[in-house]
Amino acid sequence: MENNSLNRQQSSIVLEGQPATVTAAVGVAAAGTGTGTGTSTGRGGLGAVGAWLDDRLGLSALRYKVPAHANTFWYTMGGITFMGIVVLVLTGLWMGQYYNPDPVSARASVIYIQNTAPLGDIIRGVHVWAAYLVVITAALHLIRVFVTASYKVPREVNWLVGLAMLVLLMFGGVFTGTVLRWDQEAYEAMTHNMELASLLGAAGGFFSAGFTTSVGMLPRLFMAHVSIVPLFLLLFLIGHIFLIKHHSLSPTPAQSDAGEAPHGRLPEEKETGHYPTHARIMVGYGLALLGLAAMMGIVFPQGIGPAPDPTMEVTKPPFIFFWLYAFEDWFKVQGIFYAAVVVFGFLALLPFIDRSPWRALRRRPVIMAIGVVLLVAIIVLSVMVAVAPVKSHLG
Amino acid sequence: MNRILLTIFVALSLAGALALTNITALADGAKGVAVQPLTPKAGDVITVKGDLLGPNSTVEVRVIGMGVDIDLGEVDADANGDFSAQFRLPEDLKPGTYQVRATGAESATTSITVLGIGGGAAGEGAMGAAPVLKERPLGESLLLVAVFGAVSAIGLVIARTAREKPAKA
Repeated sequence: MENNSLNRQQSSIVLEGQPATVTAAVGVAAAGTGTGTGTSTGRGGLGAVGAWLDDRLGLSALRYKVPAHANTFWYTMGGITFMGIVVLVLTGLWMGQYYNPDPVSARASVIYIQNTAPLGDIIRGVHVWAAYLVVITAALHLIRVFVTASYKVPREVNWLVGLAMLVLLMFGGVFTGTVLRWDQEAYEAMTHNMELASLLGAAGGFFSAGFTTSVGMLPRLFMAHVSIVPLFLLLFLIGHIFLIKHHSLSPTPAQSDAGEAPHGRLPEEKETGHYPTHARIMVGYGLALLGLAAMMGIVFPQGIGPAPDPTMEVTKPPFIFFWLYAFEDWFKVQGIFYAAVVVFGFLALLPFIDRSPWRALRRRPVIMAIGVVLLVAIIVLSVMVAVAPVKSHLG
Repeated sequence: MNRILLTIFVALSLAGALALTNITALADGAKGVAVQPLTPKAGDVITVKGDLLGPNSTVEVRVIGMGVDIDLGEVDADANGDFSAQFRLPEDLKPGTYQVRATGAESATTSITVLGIGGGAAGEGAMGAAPVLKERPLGESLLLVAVFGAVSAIGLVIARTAREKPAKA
């Protein structure tokens, strides 16, 4: 429904009987000079430079309507995650100028970033903590969608796309980033990668050391970290945003259960918010996330562990993987794989399991119970692992 | 409907439990090869251990990478297809990452990183001793925290003061 404003603009174009492209430009320009119809989709308030840019870039197309609740904190969580990804890309680009993915020099280059490169320790701190915060905000976004049942018709596919992005962030982004440090924890992470790849059989070939003899695992994981993962993340992100635009933001459970949103969409007249406000909130919280990541990086600076000793297993993974590490404690390395398959498999099936028309949580007691059990289990397991000594699982 | 959901949940839980039970059986059953140390120097002796590479098969161990493919030697696996043997790396092996491939009836591969003299490329000490990281003076840290705290605060102000204009029909 968010594109209704554009549709309306195009409708007026047809009524005026002029070529669409010409009339659109005129309509925008008229709104900018205050002589047009002054709809909320115009560019009123833009200066001459803004009008010039708008003529060429169509920025006023972003001034479409959204449901009023789009501009609340919880419904901005996806946007905050997006801003965090932008921070990751920018800091990653900077660190990429100093990092050397050759196993012989990798660790030394990380030490160089930390000790010598200008602002190196700060940028690295921001990058690492922003990565953790992005996973947390993505998880909170998922929880919001879970609680409000926004995964229901017609948004099932977008739920899957979002879930894929979370998996990509966790296992593609954070995991490969951990290995790049090339210290003891990195080596253990890479060994886990190789063992898990062997579990996947032929499908794991690409992720295993034996896939090729021409290049080692570290350069391949670096390539995945800076190229494959961001590329797929971008593709999923485009799909995610397109589908949000296509379906419009989901109504609140109260609106949906009151029958105000046929087929999961609020009627146009009930969309009383504006995307620019949403964008401003998103940028504001994104800035707050950047500042928080930087403060965390300064208060809890990122170390570099001892040089790898393949005969030892003495580290734990980053805290976002603690809950999976618990399963590894119980069932060895395979536990990670099967626990992840069960949890993410359930989440992937959720829109196809929960097919009731209701969206309020109190009308979905079974789903609510499963969600609470999952969340509590993840938190409890994470705390258990945090306080437990390291166990050896490999070999 | 709730009964159906409950049934599905129980079925999923059982499936998960079965899967988790099953993996305990898989835990020690994978073929593979491991090398110690992981970061030898050229000329060093390495210990290569293989698992499940074919009962009683003759296993060929090769070092591959950096433009070379070197036969380190052969070793006989036991009735389980397991073996452990020591090999000396060539003295002229260049620093870099290599694959160690063990091929019997089955094949498995792992990676090693051969270090140059001094423990790393260009004598930078990669994979060497624990690094000494620069420590920021307390005052500088406090200043930076204050600066980034201000950035966060500005962000929060921007987010919290975003005003919604009344929509026009």
